[in-house]
Amino acid sequence: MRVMSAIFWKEFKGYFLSPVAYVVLTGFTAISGWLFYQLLNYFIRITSIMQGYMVKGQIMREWTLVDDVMTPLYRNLSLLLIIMVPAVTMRLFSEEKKLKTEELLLTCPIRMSSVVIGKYLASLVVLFLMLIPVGVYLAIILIYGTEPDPGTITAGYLGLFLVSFSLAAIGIFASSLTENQIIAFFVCAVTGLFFFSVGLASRSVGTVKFFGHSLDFSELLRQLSLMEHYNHIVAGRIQTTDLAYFLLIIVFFLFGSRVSAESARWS
Amino acid sequence: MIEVEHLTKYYGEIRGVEDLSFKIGKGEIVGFLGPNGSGKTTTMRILVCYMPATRGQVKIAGFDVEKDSMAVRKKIGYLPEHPPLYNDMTVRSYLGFVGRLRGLGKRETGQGLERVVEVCALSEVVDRLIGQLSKGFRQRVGLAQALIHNPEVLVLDEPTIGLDPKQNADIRSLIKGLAGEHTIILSTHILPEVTLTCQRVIIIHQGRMVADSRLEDLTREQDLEQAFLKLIGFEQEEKRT
Repeated sequence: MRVMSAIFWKEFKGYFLSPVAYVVLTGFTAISGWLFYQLLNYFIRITSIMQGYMVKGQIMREWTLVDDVMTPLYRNLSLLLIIMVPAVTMRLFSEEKKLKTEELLLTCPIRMSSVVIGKYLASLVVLFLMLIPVGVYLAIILIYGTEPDPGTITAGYLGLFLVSFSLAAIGIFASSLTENQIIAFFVCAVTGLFFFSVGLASRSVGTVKFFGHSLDFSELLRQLSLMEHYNHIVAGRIQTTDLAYFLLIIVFFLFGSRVSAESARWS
Repeated sequence: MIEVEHLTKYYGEIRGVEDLSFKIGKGEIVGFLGPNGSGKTTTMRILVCYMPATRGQVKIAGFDVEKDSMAVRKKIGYLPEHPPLYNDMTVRSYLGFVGRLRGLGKRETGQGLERVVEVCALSEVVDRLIGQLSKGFRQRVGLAQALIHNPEVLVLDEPTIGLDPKQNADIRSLIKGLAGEHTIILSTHILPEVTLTCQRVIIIHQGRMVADSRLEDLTREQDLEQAFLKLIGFEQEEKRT
C-alpha cells in the first residue's frame, strides 16, 4: 500500500511537471467542447425547421437531445480517446526503461503488481480530470433540456470512463514493452482501434466448423468488440456482460504489464 | 555476510559468469576487478536480486537471493552502473521516493534523508532538479539512494566512473568512511582506486575468477597493475613493446 501510494504520487506529480497533462487536458476540453457546441447548434437549428426525421410528410422519428446530441457526442469522443489515452500512458514504463530506473524498481523490496497499479491509478486520475468537462455538457443538457432521459445520457458518460480506463490498461501494457514512447503510443492506439473495429467483421463471417464443433464466429467477434459493448452502454442498456468485458480487458492488460515489466529479469 | 557458491550465469549461449565462489565477511570492503565484459555487472545484478542465476547459490546475510528475495532486497543498497535517477524530480523528493520504496516510514525516511544528504555532501543541491545536476552530483545522489535505508550490504557498480579526480577522491573517502558498519562490494576497472579503498580484491576474467586475495598479498612483489595484467593473461613482455 505504501509503495503503491509512493508510485502513485510520483507519477501523478510527474504528469503535471511535464507538459503531458496540460496538453491532454486542454486538447480534450477544446475538441470535446467544440464537438458539443456544433452538435447542439445543429440540433437547435434543425428543430426550429422540423419536428423530426420526415419521410413523405410523415414524422418517422422525433429529434431528441439524447439521440441527436449526446449519443453522437459520446461516439465521437470514444474515438478521440484512442489518441488521448495513449498520450497519457505512453511514458509510464517506457521512461523507466530509458532512464534505467527499472533497475531500481526491480531491486527494491516491492512487488511489481503494486508498481503497475500505482502507475495505473495515476493515469486514471488524469483521465478522470480529462473527462470532467463532458460532465459539464451533460449537466447543461440535464438542466436546460426539455425532456432528457437522465439514465441514458448518464450511462453514456459512464461508458466513456470505462473505455478510457480500458485503453489506459492497454496503454500501460504497451508502455511496458518498449523504451520508445512513440512506439508505446502507436501500439496502444492500434490495439485500441483493433478492439473498436473487430466487431465490423462479424457481419461477414458466419458459423465455423471447428473439429466437429460449430463455433459462432460472428457472435465471438461481436463479443470481442469494444464498440459493441460501448454502444450498449451509450444506448442505456447496461448489461453485466458489458461491465464484465471492460473489467476483463483491464485485468488482462494490467496482468500483462506486470509480467512484461518483470521480464527485464529474464535476459 | 555474502556467500557465493558455484555461481553460473548464461545469457542463452553466451557465458556471463562461470562457477564463481567467494565469501565476504561483515564490514569488509572488497574490490571486484576485471576488464570490461568480464562479468562484474552480471555478478552484482545476481547479488541484488535483479536477475536469477542459471546455477549456483547466493546467500546474503543468511538469506537465499532466490527463495528470500524480499528479505535480501531489504538488506541491500545498490548503485547500478547508470544511477537510476528521475530527471524531473528534485533530489529531496527523489530520495524520499526511494525511501518509501525501501519500506521506510515517513519519519525514518526523513531521518535517512538528512543522514545521506550530509554523508554524500548534497546539502547545496537538495532542492534542485536532478536533471540539472553535474555528473559528480548525479553519482553522489545515486550513492545517497543506495544508502538511504542504511543497508548492511552495499553493492556499487563502478561508483567512480566518469568523475574528475577531485570528485573521485570525494567518493573514495566517502566509501572508506562507510566501512566497518557496511559490507561493501564495489566493481571497477580503475586499478589505483582499489589500492586506495579496498582491503581485498577479487579479480575475474571472462566470467571466471582468477584471483581472490588480500591486497597486500597481491602487491607484495609487484604493483597491482602488473599483477592484474598477469592474471588476465596479458604478457608483461608484450606490454613493454
